[in-house]
Amino acid sequence: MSSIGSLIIFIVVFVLLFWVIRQMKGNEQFDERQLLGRYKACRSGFFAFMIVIVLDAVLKLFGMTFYEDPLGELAAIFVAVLVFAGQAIRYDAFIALNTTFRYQLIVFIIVCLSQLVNAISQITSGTMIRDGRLTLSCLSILCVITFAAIIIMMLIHQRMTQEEA
Amino acid sequence: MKNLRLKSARAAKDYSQQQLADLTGVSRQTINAIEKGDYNPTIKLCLAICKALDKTLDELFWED
Repeated sequence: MSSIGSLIIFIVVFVLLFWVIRQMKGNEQFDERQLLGRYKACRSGFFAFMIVIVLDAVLKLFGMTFYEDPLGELAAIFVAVLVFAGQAIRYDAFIALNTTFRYQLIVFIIVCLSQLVNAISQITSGTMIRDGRLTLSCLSILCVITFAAIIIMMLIHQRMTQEEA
Repeated sequence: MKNLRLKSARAAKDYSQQQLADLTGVSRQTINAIEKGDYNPTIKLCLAICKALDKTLDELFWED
């Protein structure tokens, strides 16, 4: 019975996510060169994801994991997002034509700060390491690192673009 | 290869890269990339640029 409930929840969440993504896609405008850049960035992100998954599998195979189980797979998602963002920023394809740099930056700073508060509370409570292994509580730190890196890349790229203009 | 004809046509109209980008519905970086020869635009974008600059495709994009 609980498995049917989980399946229903999964389907509802999946449909909601799909709908949200469709809505976002409809609102964002990218030109043809940016779309090309995003495709390349997606490809890089996918390969980065696969590399981290393989590394995780190898570490598990040899029993050398220093983290609890789903953390490796979740870290792969963060790495993929980071690689996608880096490549998209490089191709000027990260920010849509109808979105401003400032708006995007503010959204990312808010996400980063909210996760930073979470991460600090995790560090102070000492739940990040259990039996000498990193726990799922490290996710908030991973999130902070990912978004901080994206913000830094955006700022550097914006600076370079302004100098070019 | 740089597209100097596009650059000069834009300058003749006294448009900045941003103004031309706004007229054609692309980003300033895309116009910059076309002028520098880093990006080959589609025929659709070529036509939009030609219309914005009152030029023909031959005048801006044809190479002998």
